[in-house]
Order: sequence, then C-alpha cells, then structure tokens
Amino acid sequence: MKAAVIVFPGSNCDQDCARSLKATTGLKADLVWHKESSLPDYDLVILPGGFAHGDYLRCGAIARFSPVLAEVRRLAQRGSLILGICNGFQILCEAQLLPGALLRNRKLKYLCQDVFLRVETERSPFTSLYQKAQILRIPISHGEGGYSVNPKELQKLKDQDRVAFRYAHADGLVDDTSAPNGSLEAIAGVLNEKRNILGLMPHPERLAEPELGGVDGRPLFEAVFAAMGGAA
Amino acid sequence: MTETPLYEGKAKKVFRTDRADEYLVFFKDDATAFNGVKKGRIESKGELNNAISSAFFEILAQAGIKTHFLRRVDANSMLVKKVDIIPLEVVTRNLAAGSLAQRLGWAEGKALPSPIVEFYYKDDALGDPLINNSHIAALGLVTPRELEWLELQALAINQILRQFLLARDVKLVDFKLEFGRVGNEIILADEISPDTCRFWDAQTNQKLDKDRFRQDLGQVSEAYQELYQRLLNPAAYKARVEVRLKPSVLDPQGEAILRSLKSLGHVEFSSIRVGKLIELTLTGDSEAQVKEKMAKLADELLANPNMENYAITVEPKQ
Ligand SMILES: Nc1ncnc2c1ncn2[C@@H]1O[C@H](COP(=O)(O)OP(=O)(O)OP(=O)(O)O)[C@@H](O)[C@H]1O
Ligand SMILES: [Mg+2]
Repeated sequence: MKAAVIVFPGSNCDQDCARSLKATTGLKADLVWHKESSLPDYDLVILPGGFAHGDYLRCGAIARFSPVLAEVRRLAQRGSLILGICNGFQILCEAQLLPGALLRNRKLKYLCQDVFLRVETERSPFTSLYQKAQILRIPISHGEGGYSVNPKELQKLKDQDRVAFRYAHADGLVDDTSAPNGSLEAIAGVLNEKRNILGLMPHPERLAEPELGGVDGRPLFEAVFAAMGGAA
Repeated sequence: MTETPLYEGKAKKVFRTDRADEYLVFFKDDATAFNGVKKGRIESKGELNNAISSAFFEILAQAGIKTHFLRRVDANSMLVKKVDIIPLEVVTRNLAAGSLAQRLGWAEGKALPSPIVEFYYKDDALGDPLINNSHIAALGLVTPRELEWLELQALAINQILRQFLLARDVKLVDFKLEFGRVGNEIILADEISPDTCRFWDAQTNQKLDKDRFRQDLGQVSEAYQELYQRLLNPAAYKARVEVRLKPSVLDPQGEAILRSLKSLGHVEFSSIRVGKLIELTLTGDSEAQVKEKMAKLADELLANPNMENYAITVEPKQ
C-alpha cells in the first residue's frame, strides 16, 4: 500500500497532507517532485494546496504540464485514488481530469476561514465514512475557488451523484449565499465518473487531529485508507 | 510530359501531363520587357521564379486563397491545375511606379492613400492595354459580379503578401495576377515572381525585381536570388492573444470596477469585463502559420476553454 504527495514549486500544503495522512492512518507518503516522469504504482496520490508555479496565467495552468501529471493520469486510469486539495483541485480541472474550472472568488478577496460543508454523497472511496447530509467544519484558504462548470456538465455531475461536498451555513442549509467564494450551486468538491478522483477546495488535512482544533477531516483519510485495503 | 510544349510564352512553357486536368509549367531563363522589345537572359531566373512562385502560392494557400499550384516538380517546373485563363491582367499597386507613375505624372515611390487595382486586357498584339469596367463588360470577359470578386480577391492577396514581405524587410510596390476558370470556380493562376511584381528593400528602396533588367541596373540575377533568400528566412512576428471570460461567466473584477466607477459618479457605464492581453514575439514562416500556431497554444495553455474565449492578432514585428 503506497501513497505519494506531489510537490510542485510553490506547493505549501505538501507536508501537512503527509502529516495528516500519517497521523490518521499510519501511512507514510513519499514526497514526489513534479519533475518525476515515472512513478511506482501508488494506490493514492495527493495533489496538495499551494501556488504551483506561482499560479501564473491561471491557477494550475502551468502545473498541468509538469511531467508528473502524465503519471498521475496513468495512475488514475489504473484505478489509483487521486485526491486534489485546493490548488490540487485547480490542477485536476486544468488537466481535465475533473470537469469545470475555478474562478476568482466572487468578492475578489482571498478567503482564509473555516466553512461548513454538507456531505452530498457517501458513495465514494473518499466520503464513505461520512453520512450523507452530515455537516463538517473544514477550513478554506484560496483566492480562486469559485467553481464553474457548463450546464451540461453540471447536469451530469448531479445525475451521476458526483458532487461530493457543498458549502453550507452552520445549520446545514445550502443556498445562494452559503458559498463564500460564489461557487456555482455552492459546489465545494466533485468526483470523476469512475469516482476515484476527488477535487475539493477546502483543506481536510488542516482539521484532522484534535490538536488542530477539529477532526472533521479525519474520516476522509480513514476512508481512503480503508478503500486501499487498510484496516480502519 | 510530351516533348513539345502546348504553349510557349516569353517566360514559361506549358506542357500537357498524363492527367487531363493538370499542366506542367516550365520557367525559362529568358527575359523580355516592353512587350518583347527588349530581350535577354537572366542567369538562373527560371529556377528562382519557380521557387519564388511556389513559395508565394503556398503562403496564399495557407491563408485560404485558392490557387492553381499543386507542387514543385523540379528546379524549373511546377505542376498546376489546368484552368481557362481569363485574359485580364489584374494589377494591384501600393506605391506609384511604372506605367501608373508615367500616366499620372507621379513620382516613383509616391505612397497611394489606399491600394489601387487596375485591369489590363491580356493581348500581346494590342500591347496589353489598360481597360475599365465597361470595356470588360463589352468584351464579355467576366460578369460584373465576377469583376468585383476579382478586385476583392486581389486586395486580399495584397494584404497577405504585403504583410508577409514586410516581415522580411521587403516593400510590395505592385504586382500582376492572372486568374482562370476551373469548373464553376475562379482561381489564381500563372506566376508571382520578380518578373510580375515590384519588390523594394524596405530600408534602402533597392529594387529586387525585373526593373533591374528593364532599366539596366545590373545585378539582376543577384536581386532575384536576394528576394528568394528573404522569402526563405523565418521572420519576426508580434502576436497578441486577448483572453476574456465567456459572456456566461461572471466577472467579479469587472463588477468591482463598475461599482467604483459608479461611486465616482460615472453613471454612464453599464458593463465592464476584464480580460488578459498576452503579447508574444516569435519567428515564423507566415502570418497564417503563426496564427495557427497561436490558436493551438491558446487552446492548450493560454486560455481555459471551460471559461474563456480568445482572439488572436498577428502582425510583422517592425
Ligand atoms: N493553370 C494554368 N492553366 C492554363 N494556362 C495557364 C495556367 N497558368 C498560366 N497559364 C498561362 O500560361 C502561359 C504562360 O506563359 P508566359 O507567361 O510565358 O507567356 P504569356 O503570358 O503568353 O506572355 P508574357 O507573360 O510574356 O506576356 C500564359 O499564357 C498564362 O496565362
Ligand atoms: Mg505571362
């Protein structure tokens, strides 16, 4: 059972991801430099948050051409789990491994705060240990997190139960104002058709241990570990 | 290819091929001027004109102009689509020279406010006289609509060649085209070479065309060679890619600017969209080729098709 966290120039959540994975599952991830063009068959690859390549041009636009992305694509096809958090989500969208794009936050401000998420599906290797409609508290930290997708793709996401999380108010209500970044239909995270790729803007790795002030991110890592065949 | 040409002109021989719809055009070294009054030979002219014409036809084809050119077969000849030549010489001018300068008493090199298109009746016995729309109608050479199309086509070709040459430090002073019919279509035929165009060095106005022969300026073959060299050189282009959010995508930046404009009292603005302007300098073969390359690059990297549209403009870098 092998896991990797990809490190781009400008990644800054790589260590956090590795640490939280270890703390929650005991699994020690390899930190893999983005120039690697040949990877062992990792069961889990995490694309962490940060500002890969300075986020120049568009977030994730340049990272998408890093040699390692071809390998990520290969592993995704093979069925490995791919988790893109924040900048990692942006990279997965740019690489067209997930549909849609992430736009400037509606109010143009960089947002660094806790948000509430409603779990929209428990049918995925990432969310199986949550309950549908469960409310989580998880931090966000981004300037470009407004999820946007064309109407056809949106319909597909909904029909196939591929919206993983939505931004909610504290009481669990999801409406036009519950996404602080202006995301379309308050979408915070989406799955690919095979459900082995998840991208989300919030940072589950930042609230996965009691010392950090909360553990709502923990079941995501535990679910992934279980899906990889680890004992929960 | 048969031994005897189907037709032999002053500059070229036309041969039948084993295909009924194709001709082989052989470019000769012979040079004539003033309707055959002055005769001579220009060393390697056939080869150079074949190569130069081929290059121009390729550039035009890339830019979407239909031509008779199929391919260069050997040093002196090219394979072309057989057409029924329309006996009109379509001349387009950017600067005054030759017969226009003479007729109107203009100094050679005088800039024209906009390009001028002229029609000459292609008839050696008459000395290829200048004719107007009514003459053309009376001769029944083309319909008024076709004539209009020929003029627009000449202007479009002018635009393409002018930019292409300017990027290689050559001014396109004027040039003569011949068109022909194939089926229901009219396509560009004959040749585009220093025999049929005036090319000047953009810095020194040095002549790089048949005027060197007409006016006994010497270094004729060298000038043709120089022009050919310049065509082969990749040129520098400036490309601008404007990237804008699709109309369906909200633009929070534009809205913020709109709000602050309104708060400054500028109530006349109703919408503002903010985009990106990316300017690039690169070398390439032609505007069309550079444009195609930029479009690929925009699709791949510069714009995100999920949320953005783009527009590309390319011009020679001066
Ligand atoms: N695709 C084509 N199909 C048929 N004829 C063509 C085609 N392209 C050019 N021609 C004709 O082939 C001939 C080429 O010969 P050339 O240019 O040497 O002689 P010319 O035009 O008769 O005389 P000159 O150019 O010296 O005034 C021209 O008559 C030209 O109109
Ligand atoms: Mg001719």
